[in-house]
Amino acid sequence: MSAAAAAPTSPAQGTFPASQYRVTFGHAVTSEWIKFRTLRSTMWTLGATFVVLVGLALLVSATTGSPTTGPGVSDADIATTPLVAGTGFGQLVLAVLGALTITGEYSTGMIRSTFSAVPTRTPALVAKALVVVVASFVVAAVSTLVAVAIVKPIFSGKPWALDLGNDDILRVVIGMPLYLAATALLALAFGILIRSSAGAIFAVIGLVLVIGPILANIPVHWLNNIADYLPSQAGQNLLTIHPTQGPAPWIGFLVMAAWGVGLFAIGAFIAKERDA
Amino acid sequence: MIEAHGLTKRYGPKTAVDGISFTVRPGTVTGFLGPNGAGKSTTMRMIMGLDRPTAGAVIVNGKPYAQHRSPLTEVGALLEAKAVHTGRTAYNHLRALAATHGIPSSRVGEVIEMTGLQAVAKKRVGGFSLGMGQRLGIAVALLGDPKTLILDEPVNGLDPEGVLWVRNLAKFLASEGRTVFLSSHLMSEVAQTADRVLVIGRGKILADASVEEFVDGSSQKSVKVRSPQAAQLAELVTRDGVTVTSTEPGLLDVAGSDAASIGETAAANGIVLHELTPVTSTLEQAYMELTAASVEYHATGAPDGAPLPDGSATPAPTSTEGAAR
Repeated sequence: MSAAAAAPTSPAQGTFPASQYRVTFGHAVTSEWIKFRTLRSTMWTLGATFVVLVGLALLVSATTGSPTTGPGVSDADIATTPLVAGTGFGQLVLAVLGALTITGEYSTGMIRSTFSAVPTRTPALVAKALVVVVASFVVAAVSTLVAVAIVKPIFSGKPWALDLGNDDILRVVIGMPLYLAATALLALAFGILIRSSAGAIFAVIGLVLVIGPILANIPVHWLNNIADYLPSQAGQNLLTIHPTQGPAPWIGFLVMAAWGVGLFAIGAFIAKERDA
Repeated sequence: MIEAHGLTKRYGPKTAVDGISFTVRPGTVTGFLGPNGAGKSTTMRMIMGLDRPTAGAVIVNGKPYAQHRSPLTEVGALLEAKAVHTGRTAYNHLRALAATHGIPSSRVGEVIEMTGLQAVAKKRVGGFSLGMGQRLGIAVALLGDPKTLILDEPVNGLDPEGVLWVRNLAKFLASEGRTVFLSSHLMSEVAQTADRVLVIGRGKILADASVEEFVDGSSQKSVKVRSPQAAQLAELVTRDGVTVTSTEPGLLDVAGSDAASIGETAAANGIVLHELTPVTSTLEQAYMELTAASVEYHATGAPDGAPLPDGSATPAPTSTEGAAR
């Protein structure tokens, strides 16, 4: 019945050579990349993003007849409309991808394997964020470039030609993958904080599609101002030729990125302390 | 080598692990035995740095687990069969975990072969049986060729051949000088596999001994006596530390004495004996006796005997294993 601690003895066991293996950030990134690409859901969501961004660009540009340019609608607006047509669906799909990347591990118990292999936890989470953000960016960038290649000949010779020499148009082209990658990061951060797939997806969609528009439409000035600085509202100014409210385009994107990075940092800190 | 000092884990008002201290040494298989909800899994998760102790500390191979630079080569753990994403194949699961340490894919092939998973390695884990999931968990534990192995209920869901394989594997790994710490709620399993046994009940260590010592130290040793003068004999042998119980006329169960002294007492008083059989307790009995007061979930009402360690009259209905999420 002795429960007393025995005197600590030397931990050295002598017979085992020191391991040549190490947990490094690079190794953590390799591991997260293997995890990311070996799930079917990843391929489905990234594939859907490509199809929707390119498909809607084709559909919208092919059906653009003689649009009326009025106050607040410029030729550059018309030129970029096909490129940003898939933003709503794309952000939804990539938000699901970003959230599932981590909540899928919590729901299956995989997170305990992950945190056993990388017990300091932060490198694994940062590696996960890096993989999700880079993959979302690359897929959105390729989709947008393909969309540009489709739209450019359709609109050529028209007043609303897709002229990449136009700074505002070029900004939208560059902005699409940045905006969508930032959405994926935001969703991943919510996933770390909330841990449940349904909860995290609900939180992101609520923030992006529900709370923002509600606050923006209540005729109370300071509520509108808050809405302008919510991640999605601020970020979408990067995709707008002449934003009429809220922060300037690049400031807007920085606001959105700050939301993502900030929530991710809080999530990573909490995940380090929390029982897995 | 695993060393725990005053290790405590509370979930709200419930104490899952209550200030336990123990040492698990290399070169032996140490069984971690206790009823469901006794705190075995919680203790193992704390060793692996997954759950943060409320108080106390535990170190593995000289350091807290999280401070090792190559944790998978220090400690390999099977914490629960399916700590695996169900949408990934066994091979990719192992490859992803190996990648965190720069362990080559060739080692992944080796552990798949060692655990007999070749046929299903390229299948998604979601379709695995409990036994295959268990083998995959053991493959993960072996991935880093670790000095210390922590196996939580390793034989759960395995067929008899698999059970035998785990036993032999555990013994072989210990014979190589590794530390092997395996939990079970099955006495017989620990009896056949372990050299030492650490018994836990309601979050407290009840015994820390070799398997032989544990059985010998049990007070269940008794002598079965059959005699036509049973009542007379019962009076003669009953004294301090000796209890006599009778389940049928003419049959006595004498605890706290031995066959020799009962026989001498009978002869000296001219009592006829028809049977005099020493009954040695099994590990199973020793375990039941030890944990009777500390079983978390009784099939029928409150446990009898000693008061519960935390003083409450009825066992709490919540599971400590489940509360850990």
